[in-house]
Amino acid sequence: MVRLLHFVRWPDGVFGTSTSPIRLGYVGAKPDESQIAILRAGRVRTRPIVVFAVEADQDKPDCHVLAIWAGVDPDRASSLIAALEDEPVLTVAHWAAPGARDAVVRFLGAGERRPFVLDEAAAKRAGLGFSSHVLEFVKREDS
Amino acid sequence: MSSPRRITVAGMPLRLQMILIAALVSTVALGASGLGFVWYEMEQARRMLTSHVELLASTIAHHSRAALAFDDREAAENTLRFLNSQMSVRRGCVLRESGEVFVCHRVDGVEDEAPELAAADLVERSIEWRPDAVVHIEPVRLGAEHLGAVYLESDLSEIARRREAMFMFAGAVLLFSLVGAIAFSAGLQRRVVEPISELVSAAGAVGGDSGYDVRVESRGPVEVRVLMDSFNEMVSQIDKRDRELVGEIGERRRIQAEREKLIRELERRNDEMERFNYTVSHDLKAPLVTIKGFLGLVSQDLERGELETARNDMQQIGKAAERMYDLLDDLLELSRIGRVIHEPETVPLREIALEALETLTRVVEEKGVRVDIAEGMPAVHVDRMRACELLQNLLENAIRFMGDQPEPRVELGARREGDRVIVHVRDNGIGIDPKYHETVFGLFDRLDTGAEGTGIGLALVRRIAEAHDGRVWVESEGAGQGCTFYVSLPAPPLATDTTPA
Repeated sequence: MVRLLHFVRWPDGVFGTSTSPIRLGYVGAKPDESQIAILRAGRVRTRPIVVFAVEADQDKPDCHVLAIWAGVDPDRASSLIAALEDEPVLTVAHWAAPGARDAVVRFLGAGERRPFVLDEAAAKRAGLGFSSHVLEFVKREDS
Repeated sequence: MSSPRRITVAGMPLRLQMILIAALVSTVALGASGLGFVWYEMEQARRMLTSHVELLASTIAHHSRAALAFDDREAAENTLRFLNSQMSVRRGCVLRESGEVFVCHRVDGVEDEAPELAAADLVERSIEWRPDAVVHIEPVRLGAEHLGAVYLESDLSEIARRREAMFMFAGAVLLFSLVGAIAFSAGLQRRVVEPISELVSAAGAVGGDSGYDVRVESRGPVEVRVLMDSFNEMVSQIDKRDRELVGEIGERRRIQAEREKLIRELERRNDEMERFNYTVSHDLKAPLVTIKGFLGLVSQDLERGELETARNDMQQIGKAAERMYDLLDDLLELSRIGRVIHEPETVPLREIALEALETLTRVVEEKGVRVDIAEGMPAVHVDRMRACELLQNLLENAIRFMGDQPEPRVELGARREGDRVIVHVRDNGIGIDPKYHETVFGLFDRLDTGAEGTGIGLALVRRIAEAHDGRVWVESEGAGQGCTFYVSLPAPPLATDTTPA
């Protein structure tokens, strides 16, 4: 997840300053503490990463990245993705998460030659850009 | 055994020194600059290679981030294939953080062992120069995360080739410059050294066979021309002063010789004067004694009335007076020769000789002497009257001192020697002992006191010869062997002497 963030470009003005943190919210099964620690320890260039769990009553969380893990309610996942559809938010969904087909990026799991699927139309709607380097490692589809 | 001669630069000719210096300076300067140039080029090449490899490594590291991050070997290999277009890189690898080789690519296709590096070696950028390669390690980071490193191994053969080419180029430049330096020094030599060498030769020739007529043609650079002009001026001054000095020395020598000659002449005259005084007082006294003696006898004869005896005694007094008269006459003639010289003229010697012989006709006939005057004698440039007196005295002297010679004979001849005519009068008379060869020319010196004459004839001969800057001498093997008198008289200039020599 953190490695992927290095290759993502958000629209100008999304972050206040060059050191403003990347807010990463997640829904679904709570990750291991070790995974949370890795995320929190990570930095994307000059920006630290703030990890938080999206509250159940939040329909449109204030974040830059929304991670949808397995175990999330499919409707909840769909509504969140729909709510953030036109926002500059990178929605990343686990391959096993139902209702997350419309996420910008979906993880296919380890062992895959190309571990991501990138919905280029969704990315475009969100105003997100991707480094050409990472494009080699993603399956690209257009919803 | 002599030790070998040591050749030093200072002892070499200027021409060789200039060539040597030009070659040496060119070699040192170009050699040093050539080495500096090669060193600078090599440093530049190393710097450029370093910079190039750093750029390559940095680029590959940047492009390998995603491949390492997402464990894609194929993508990493694709990135490394980019090295195929880089001639300087021999091998490139992407290593994991642990040092494990992720992918490796050999540009020349040679399979070899992958580099073994520890994880600690991959954390920092590093560059290592090995004898045959340069190894660069560029860490691959994704943010703060260290993913691994790029390992690049560059070939140094290109630098070696370049160094070789540089040395060859520098060598060629050095060789070319050496040839140029030698050509330049040869040109310089023509302009500078040759005029100086000419000047040195000219300086060596001054005072030699060429005397001070040595001059050099002013040429070459302005300093050399000034030097040559100064040399010419200096030699001219020396020449002028030398001529003045030679003239002055010659004049002094001439004056000295003249003075010595005058001193000798004065001494001789003084001697002659002393002898003259003695002789005059002695020889003039003799007739006076005779006269005085006979006057006493005449007185006695008259007292006794012996008139005949008195007459005889009176005759003796007359003879003594006549003798005294002759002596005084000769003395007067001798003194006149020393004072009076007529203007010299060119006259055939035979003509003078015949004239002199004519005055002696009576004595020649009395003595029955055969006198031969040579034909074709050269002309002489003399005071004719004095020359005639000279020959007359020599002929008379020869005729008178014949002794008992049954076939008395006198021969007069002459030959030209340079600007002098050597006249000889040869007889077969009584001859002269060698010890008297000089004294016979003295005043009143008579070897035969019984002979006729005043003893002044040969003194006259010498006086006349000396008045003509000549001399007289006699050769005789001794008594009874005859003798030959020689006189040197001035010859006329050759153009006016038409008689055979």
